[in-house]
Amino acid sequence: MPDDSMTAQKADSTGNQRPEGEVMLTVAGLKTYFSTRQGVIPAVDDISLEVRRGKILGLVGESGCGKSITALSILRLVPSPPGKIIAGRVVLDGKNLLELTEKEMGHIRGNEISMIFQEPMTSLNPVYTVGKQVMEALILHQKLSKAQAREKALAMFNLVGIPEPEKRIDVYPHQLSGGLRQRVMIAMALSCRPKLLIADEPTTALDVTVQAQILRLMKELQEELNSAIILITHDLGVVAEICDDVNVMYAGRIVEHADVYELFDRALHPYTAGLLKSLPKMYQENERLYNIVGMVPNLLQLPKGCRFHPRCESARAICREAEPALFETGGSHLVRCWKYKG
Amino acid sequence: MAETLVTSNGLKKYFAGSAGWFGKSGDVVRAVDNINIAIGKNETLALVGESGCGKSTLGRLLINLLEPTEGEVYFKRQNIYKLNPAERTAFRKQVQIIFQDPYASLNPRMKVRSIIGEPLETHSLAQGKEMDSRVGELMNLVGLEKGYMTRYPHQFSGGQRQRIGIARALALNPELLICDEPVSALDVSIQSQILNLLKDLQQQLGLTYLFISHNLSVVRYMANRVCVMFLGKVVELGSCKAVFDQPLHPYTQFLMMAVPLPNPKLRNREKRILEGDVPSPINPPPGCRFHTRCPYAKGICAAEEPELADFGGRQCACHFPLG
Repeated sequence: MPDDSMTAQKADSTGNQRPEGEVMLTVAGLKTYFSTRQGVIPAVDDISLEVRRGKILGLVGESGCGKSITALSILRLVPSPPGKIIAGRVVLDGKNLLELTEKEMGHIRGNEISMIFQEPMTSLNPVYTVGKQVMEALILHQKLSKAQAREKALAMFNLVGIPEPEKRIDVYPHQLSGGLRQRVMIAMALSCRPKLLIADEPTTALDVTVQAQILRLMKELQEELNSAIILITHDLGVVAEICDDVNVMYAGRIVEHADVYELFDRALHPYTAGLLKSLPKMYQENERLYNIVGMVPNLLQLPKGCRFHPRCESARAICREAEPALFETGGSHLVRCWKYKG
Repeated sequence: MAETLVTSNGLKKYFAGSAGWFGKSGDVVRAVDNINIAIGKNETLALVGESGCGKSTLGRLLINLLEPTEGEVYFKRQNIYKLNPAERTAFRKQVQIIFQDPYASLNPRMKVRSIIGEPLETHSLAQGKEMDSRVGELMNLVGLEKGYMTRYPHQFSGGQRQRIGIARALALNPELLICDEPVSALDVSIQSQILNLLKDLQQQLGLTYLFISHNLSVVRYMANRVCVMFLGKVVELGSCKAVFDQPLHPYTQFLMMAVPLPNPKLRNREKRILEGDVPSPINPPPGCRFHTRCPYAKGICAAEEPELADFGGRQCACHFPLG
């Protein structure tokens, strides 16, 4: 699908020709807390992760686990107040983004890291044509003239598979279907050829046949441009379909990290294992579904010890007392559970 | 299928676009277009399809929350659109609905006691102490502590709110429950709790479910039979096992192939992806409504609309069925 002009640019884009698999973004000890009248909410509590060039990292978890706030923290877009990044480093190719000035950060956003959101209707401006919105980023970040920007925007529309781009570039968001709107968002996000794309539930609002198209498109573009993606989702099917590495989050913490094959083969954390068991299977008669009992804890009243222990079937005395660290279990498989303390 | 509980006959619902600012007058959305289905007593029939296919509209027509443009619905052999007031009140007690969004479907200013008790009050079935004890029973039934009776909806999590919605629907001992995407707004770990609860309640109370969902894995778990809709039409109908094992309609096949499977080893399975978007229901394509996206379409598909035909106990509307 990508045309020649895009392939030609591959070589001159910054950094993207470096070896695949090399770590490009490191998040270390990130803490983002929110101050509310009821108390301090540790939405992201000591998160560390690595994004490798040319790979898709999945960030999975249920609502409120901190996956979106992690993404917003990387881009320094956490609304402040009430939110505040109180500790940690976010290092992109040697630069700690948390130490940059707001102006320098403005250059990183869109140019080096860009983001797409769940609801394409609310993230596009309804009073401008979609072409104008894609061109805006190009004119701002790449200092292109209007005519050049339009040409580039057309090339991007082509790249993301929008049919009849010459016609579609001049329409308003409401004139497009959900799937096309999400393609516009992807075109916009990729127009400045970022090294890293953060996609927050990019297909959750879409129908399943359109979801399949968008997932295929993201995978193709990521391979074509050798960029990296952080894919935030609650859908384990989507993770299994396109991610390379996975971090599972629970109540502000990473509870398990593994290569995608390893994770689905040998989920170690009782939470991950429980989630996998509670999914109905499409191609077989189902036994009664497994239930994880109870519900996600209130971040204002976190349980003592392991944050998952009140719902855990294999909780022991120590789980109620002390919180486990992320233990190594061979290879890059990490798990925050006392059962796997070395 | 044992005894039939609900039957629809040539059911149609057209929505006329209003003349005015945005809508062109004369636009007609054919949300439900000539549907004949039957739901057996005690079974779960699933309605699946993508947004705009008419599945929610059909659900609402079947319990007379909407008036049809044409056609009839029979509930226990009574035409539900031709009931006298007394019969209508009786009918209303026998059919209930559970909604998708547990945040929007509960009145934030009412306590749980009044939310669950409201149907009892409306039908003058219980009040005072008696009502409290019935509400308590219902809360126990759906796995809520009855001590929470005096709380407001915002004090509950999404899963608990959905349980409140279920308790309210069960208050009048209905026979038919329309479950309209009951778990779509819930987290995975809560989803299985609610699905198991619905299954238990069905067995315990002998309920019949019309289960509307876009999630095919959930449908496989819940339903006995599945009805696939596309732009207001039924394209395939049959037992879950038959349809999932070997779909006859190309749309069903593509819909199933598009579902991401939670097993990375299958990521390179044969996967053909449907191109394009769902056509607008305002001016659906002539002939088979799916032919503009169908890779198997031939000349006749654009010219002639296929009838829903029998294929050994199941039905499919396609000129060139698979298999």
